[in-house]
Order: sequence, then C-alpha cells, then structure tokens
Amino acid sequence: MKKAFYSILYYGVPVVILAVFVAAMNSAPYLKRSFGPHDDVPGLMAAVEAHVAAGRWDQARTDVERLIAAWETVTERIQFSVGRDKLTRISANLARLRGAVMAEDRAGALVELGEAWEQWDSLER
Amino acid sequence: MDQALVVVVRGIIAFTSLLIFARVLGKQQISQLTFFEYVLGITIGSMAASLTTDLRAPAWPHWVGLLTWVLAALAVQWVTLKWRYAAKYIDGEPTVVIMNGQVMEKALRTLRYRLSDLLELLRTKGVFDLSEVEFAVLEANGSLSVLRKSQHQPLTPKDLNLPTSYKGVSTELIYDGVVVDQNLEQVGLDRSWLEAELKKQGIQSPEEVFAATLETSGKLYVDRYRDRVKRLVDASDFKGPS
Repeated sequence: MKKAFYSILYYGVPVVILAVFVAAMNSAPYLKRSFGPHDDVPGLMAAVEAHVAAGRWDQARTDVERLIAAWETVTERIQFSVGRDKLTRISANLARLRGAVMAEDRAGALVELGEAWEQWDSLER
Repeated sequence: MDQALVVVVRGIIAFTSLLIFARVLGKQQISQLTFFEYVLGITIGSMAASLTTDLRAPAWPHWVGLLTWVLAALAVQWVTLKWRYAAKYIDGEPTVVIMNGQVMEKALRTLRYRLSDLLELLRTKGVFDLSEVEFAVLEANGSLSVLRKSQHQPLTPKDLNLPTSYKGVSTELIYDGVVVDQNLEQVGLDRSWLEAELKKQGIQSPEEVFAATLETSGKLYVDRYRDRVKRLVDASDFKGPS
C-alpha cells in the first residue's frame, strides 16, 4: 500500500507539475476574457469604434482611457503566457488610438482599432 | 508588465521541466556521452535558456521545442536499444587504434585523430611509453581503453598466489553526526553496538563523528569533527584569497 502510494507520488508529481506548466503557458485564451466591466477589452474596443464612426469624440475620449486601463489589467494576467512583442504592439496601438481620438482623426483611429483587433484576436498564437 | 517577474516564472517552468526531462532521459546522458548526446545536451539547455529569457515569443513554443528534442532523444535511445544495426549507425562503434603493439594509422585517419591526440589520451591513462601498449580501443564516447602488454601490467596478489580476503562496498553508519539507522539495520547491527564501538575509540556520542563506515572486513572507520592534525599542509602555492 505504502509502496503503491510512493509509486503514484513518484510518477504523479512530475506529471501534475508538467500539466500545471502546460496549462499556465496556454492560459491566455481564458485569461484575456473579461471578468467584469473594468477589463472588457473587446467590449471597450467595440464601443470606441462605434463612437469614432459616429463622431462622438467626447465619449470616444472617455472610453479610450477606460480601454487603456482595461488593457493594463488584462496584461497583468496574460504576461506569463503571451510574448512581450504582442503586448507591446497592442499597447502601441492603443497609445496611437488615444492620440488619434484626441486629434479627432477618424481614419487614424479606425486604422489603429483595426490593427488592435487583429492583434487581440491573434494574441495567444 | 513586470519583465523580471515573467523571467522568474518562466525560469521556474524551464528549470523544473529540464529537471524532469533529464530524469526521463536517464543516466546515459552523463555516463555514455557520445558527440551527438553532447550536442543534444547543449541544444536542450540552450532551449531552456531561451524559454527563460527570450520574452519576445510566448513560453509555449519554446517549451514545445524542448519537449520535441527530449522526445526525439528518447526515440533514438529506444531505437538503439531495440535495433543493434541502428545503434551501430547512430552511436558508432569502438575502433581499435593500437593492435598487437602497432598503431593503426588508417583507423586514426578515418577518425581524424592525430598521433599527438592518441598519445595525449594514452597519457591520461597513465601510459607514457607507446611500446607498453598491446591494444588500445577508442570507444564510441571518445574515451580510450588500454590493454598494456603483459610484462607492463601491475602485479596482482593472484600473480604471486597470495590469498586475499573479500572486500566489498563499505556501509555508511554515521553521516554528518547522524546515525543512519536504515544502514545499521541492513548490516544486522544496532545503535548499542555502534555506541560501544565508538566508546572503544574514545568517542562519547555519534554527534562527535563526521563520518563512520563499516568495512566488509567488519572494521569500523571513524572520522571525527575534531581533527587531530597539528599542522595542516597548505596546498596553496601563492598568496591570495583561499
């Protein structure tokens, strides 16, 4: 009985450790999801897109700030499973989006949003 | 994004994975290191390093790369175990480089070994005179096995028909001041016997002992923490931090 227990422990512990590592390294698709209104990145991107398309610049400015804050929250969660390059690219997109919204540049804002969507969708790849 | 924190987490993943994979690959990696296995070890280590510090890419592809190489190494090990022809092809074979006291120049050329390389390997085996060697075989892992001519082989008790007593592996009974009860039990002895033996040598407690081993002849070897050497021999030959 004792021998069987140690045998399970001998093989089981490494298997469990490796399983935890695999889960942690592939956790991005789950962890990038929204857990509340404060970190709803796709929801806020859609909102900013709608405001920009309709020319509602005041609301766009408010939602861009909320979007950047949401992205920072998500970054904290997914930084262990996503490459730094992807995170940096989305951060740069959002920074440029903020500038475009401030300048009320619809074309520039939509370009940045388009790229941000693409980066967001391929985040875990 | 805290890069240092990410490196720490990825370092733990790489270190632990490598530890588990190395155990799976077995002792062959250290004891029978062929050139291929040497390169394999470096590559796997390099991948673990990239997994830790190359933050540009996600950890997962690095880890999959590591796993792929480990599985490939395991597959090669399995194939060479099951199929001797493949083992010969993959690991190579021992090559006789000195036969009946004569250097096999053609074999050396095939191995891309110079005479100086052979002499160097012989010296590491304690052979400084080529004429002492009857056979020398370069093993697949690059080490040289040497058979000296009979007149140059060390004299053994058997040569003189001297009787010898059995000598096996000694058993540790005290390790760093702690009695190893498991080993005591294994040799059919107990603590009271050990304490009595220690008292014979003027030792009051096992805690005074750094190491104690029982030889197969039944003799107890004891090394105390308090060494009775009056003047230590200094191996250093130059002033500086030691």
